[in-house]
Amino acid sequence: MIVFLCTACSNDGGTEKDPSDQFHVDILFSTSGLGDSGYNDAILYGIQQASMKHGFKVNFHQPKTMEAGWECYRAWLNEPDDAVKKLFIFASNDYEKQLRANHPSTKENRDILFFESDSPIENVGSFRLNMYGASYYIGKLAKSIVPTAATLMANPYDTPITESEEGFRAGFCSESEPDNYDVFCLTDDKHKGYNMPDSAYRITYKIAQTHSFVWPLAGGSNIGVFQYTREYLPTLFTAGMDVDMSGLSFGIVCSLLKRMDLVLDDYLSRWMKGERITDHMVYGLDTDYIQIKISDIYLEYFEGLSELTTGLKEEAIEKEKQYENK
Amino acid sequence: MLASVCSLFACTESNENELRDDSSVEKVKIAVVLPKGQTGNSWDNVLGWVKDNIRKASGTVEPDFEFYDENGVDLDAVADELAAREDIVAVVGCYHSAHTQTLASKCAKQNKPMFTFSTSEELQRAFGQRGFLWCLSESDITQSELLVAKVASYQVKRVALLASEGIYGQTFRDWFSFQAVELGLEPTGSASFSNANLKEQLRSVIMEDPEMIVCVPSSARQVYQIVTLADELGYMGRLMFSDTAYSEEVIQLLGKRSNGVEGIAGVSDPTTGFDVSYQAKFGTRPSEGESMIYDAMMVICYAYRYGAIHGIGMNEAIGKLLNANSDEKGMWTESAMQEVFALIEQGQTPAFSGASSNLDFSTDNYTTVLYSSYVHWMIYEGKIIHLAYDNRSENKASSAIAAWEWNKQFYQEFEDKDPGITYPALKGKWAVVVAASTGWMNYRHQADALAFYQFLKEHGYDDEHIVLIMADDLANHPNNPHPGIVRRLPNGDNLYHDVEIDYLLSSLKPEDFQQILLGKGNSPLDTTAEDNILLFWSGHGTKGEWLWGEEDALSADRVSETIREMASEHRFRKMMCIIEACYSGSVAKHCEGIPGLLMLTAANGEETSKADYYNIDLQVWMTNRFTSCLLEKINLDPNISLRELYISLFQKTLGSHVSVYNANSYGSVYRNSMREYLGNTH
Repeated sequence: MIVFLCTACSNDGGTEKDPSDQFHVDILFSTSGLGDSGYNDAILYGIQQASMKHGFKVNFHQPKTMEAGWECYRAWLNEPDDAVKKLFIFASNDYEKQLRANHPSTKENRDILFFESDSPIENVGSFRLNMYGASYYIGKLAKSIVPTAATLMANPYDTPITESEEGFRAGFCSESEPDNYDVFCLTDDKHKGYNMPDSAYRITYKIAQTHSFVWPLAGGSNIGVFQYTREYLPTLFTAGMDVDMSGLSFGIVCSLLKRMDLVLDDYLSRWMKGERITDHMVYGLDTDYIQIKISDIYLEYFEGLSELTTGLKEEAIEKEKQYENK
Repeated sequence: MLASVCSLFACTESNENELRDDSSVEKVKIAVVLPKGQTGNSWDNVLGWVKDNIRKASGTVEPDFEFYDENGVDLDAVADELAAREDIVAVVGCYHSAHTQTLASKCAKQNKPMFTFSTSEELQRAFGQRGFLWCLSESDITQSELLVAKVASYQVKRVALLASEGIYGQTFRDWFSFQAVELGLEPTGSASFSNANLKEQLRSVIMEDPEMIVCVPSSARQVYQIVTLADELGYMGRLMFSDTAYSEEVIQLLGKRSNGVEGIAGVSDPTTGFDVSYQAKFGTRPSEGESMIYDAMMVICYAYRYGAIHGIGMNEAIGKLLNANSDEKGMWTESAMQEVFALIEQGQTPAFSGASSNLDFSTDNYTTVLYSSYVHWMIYEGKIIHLAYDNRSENKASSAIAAWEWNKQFYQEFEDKDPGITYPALKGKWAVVVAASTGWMNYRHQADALAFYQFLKEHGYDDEHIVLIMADDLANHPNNPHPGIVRRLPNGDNLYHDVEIDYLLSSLKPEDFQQILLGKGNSPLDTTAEDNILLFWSGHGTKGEWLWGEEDALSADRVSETIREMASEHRFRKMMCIIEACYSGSVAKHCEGIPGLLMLTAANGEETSKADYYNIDLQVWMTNRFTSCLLEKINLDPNISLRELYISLFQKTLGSHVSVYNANSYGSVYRNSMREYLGNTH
């Protein structure tokens, strides 16, 4: 079990609220989203927890095709207007292009929230989690353990992973030793490479011949990286992504957490209080929505590196701001 | 007297926002037969959850559960009663394969809708086509396949099987060797074990030097024993466990030694969101079967309303609903159920998916869900981690029967070559037909033997040229509802007419049979070098033996010696042995090199041969698959070439590799045919 149960402690432990008929939330996942034991599952977990905490009805959709997914949204748009407050959440940025081309008009009692868009979408609330700072931080941590590292990316194009790669590289590489770092990609196709664990395993084998740390930016393919580190510890270290993955391998030094449960909790509680969801936000390491969790077995090691870790978060946040303002 | 019904689970509180008048809600009574408190399973979570969701979603029905502890009641009696009770709309259960079999046999008689997730191969083949049984997971044939496939992915070749006795292990024993061969592996052997002989059986398996052992224990304690003993015996290879080992109890028993224990287990499809939602609600992962229990209750309630609206029975309603397949996942939530119920109330047949899977059923064949999900799991530092999810390849046939309708890969190759044997002109044809088992439960062997006997008589044989050996204890058996009648198919002809039995099985020992073949003493087999002999044998087999009656056996050596002696004494021109028995190839292999002999076996030396057509009323398998295919083919074309016959049987005989032995000492199978054995005997 991926341990988002431990991290997703947004429920204050109060009694479960019965879902109200007055608040309906529909959430649309990508076609291969749920079941990833990571980002998407954490979103579903978060929304179920929020539903129990705040008391709204939730309906989730995992369509077989993008077209079917878009039809879910259109059906929601065409639902009759009534007193019920409705929120539609796009839990995948796969639909960004379509939504931009067909942005909705403003409607009473209807809000739309879009995950991980690069920029605002008209009449739609959206946000992006900036991984630069957290990646920088982990790059620095990795440097304290090993002299060489590589990033394994799903592809060289998708913004979230290129942003993270840049952050990690900035944290790991110094001007004096630029050659101890490389980048590998699983595929050369945009938006692909996220479901190739066998290839990831094989490339990790190759990486491990010359590098000691892998920064995994390949979504579902990361399983292959973790498998390698599990089988060949202690030759290669890595980090977990999106949720706490320390249970998968001793080679996982830390995990970058995307606290989707907190994001959802925040948005949904505001929404249920009557706030309209229309702004575009970027959340980085300076918020609670991005966190870094050191794996238990490495806690003592990093606690002994106070010189490194003291002020590191602030440094990473500063770097992230500089990156955003570029 | 039946044990008292276990108290109902704790109900969730009713929704304070709902002002529904509960008296308008109809209660759908469902019997739930599952183990209480086994391995931490608590069914209360899922039963409470689904009841709550259905009640809120429907507004007209709610499930009313009647729970029975399958380990704590007289299951035979309980199952009988539940099947007969009209107030029980459907039955859900059991957890253990043997119990599920019992429950199914009772529900079958009353056509009571029954849902289960414990799908053994035997259950599926026996009851799957009857229209009352709805299996929410694929049979363990698929799990066996995935286990073997996982072994193959580790780039090993030599693999063995260690499976517990009983119905659960039987599926794996039946299919392991077949699947291993099909996946390019080399099965080094398989062993079944009980608690008493586990060490000895494990040792026997290890001695064949497999690189991996597929282990199919029936309890967590057996997992503990296997891991411990493998260590003790110094086994250096890998163990791959079936779903029994996917259990917190294994971690508790083994402690640190559980690290690295891995296997395959059936799970709900992770893309339905059920597992995550369950964790969010209850703070723990669901146990095995909970998602399927959820789906069962959901479907039953849908079908109840659907049947009421359309005026049809439950099974028909279930079939219609499950025939409508949805592409969308996650339709098990309260909101989604609300939409489905609404469409049903409008008289429509909505498509929906479930908590455990998409609920794609192949209702034209076996009523089993297609494409169950499985996980490759491992115990790592005290926790079970999921390494990868898998299911049976969608490239295989889309029917639920496809678990065993493999497109078999490994045909035997034959050369169209003359072995240089000169055969004299054919003068006479003789047949020896043996049903080597006794008793009602082995019905199929005598039925097949009689079928072959009748076939011979229709194709030129008289009783003087047939030696028929059988127990002859079926026609007037107390279990036979139609005295004097023995059939191979439910609506088949009576095979027990004008039958001349030469020897009762009980009157002969294996050595007597040898003497008969050798024409010694009063043997009616009066053959010479100008006569062909056709031997048809139907019975049980183990490795290296054809069993004889309840206690004896003909060993491979004995068979080989006998036929060699027959050959040296010129007691036949050509001899063809058609053997319907498990592991039959293991005996046939020993007969290679005997000139003029051809062996055609239902299975190779490493696999079982499969029974066919389970009769619910007689409670027996009526025939064997290999013999069914054989008779069908040679009835159509008595002059068929041996090669064509082999290919046809190979393709159609499910679950085993039909094999030909000793073709090189016989003659070209392309140019030899059944004609030499059929037709007038002189």
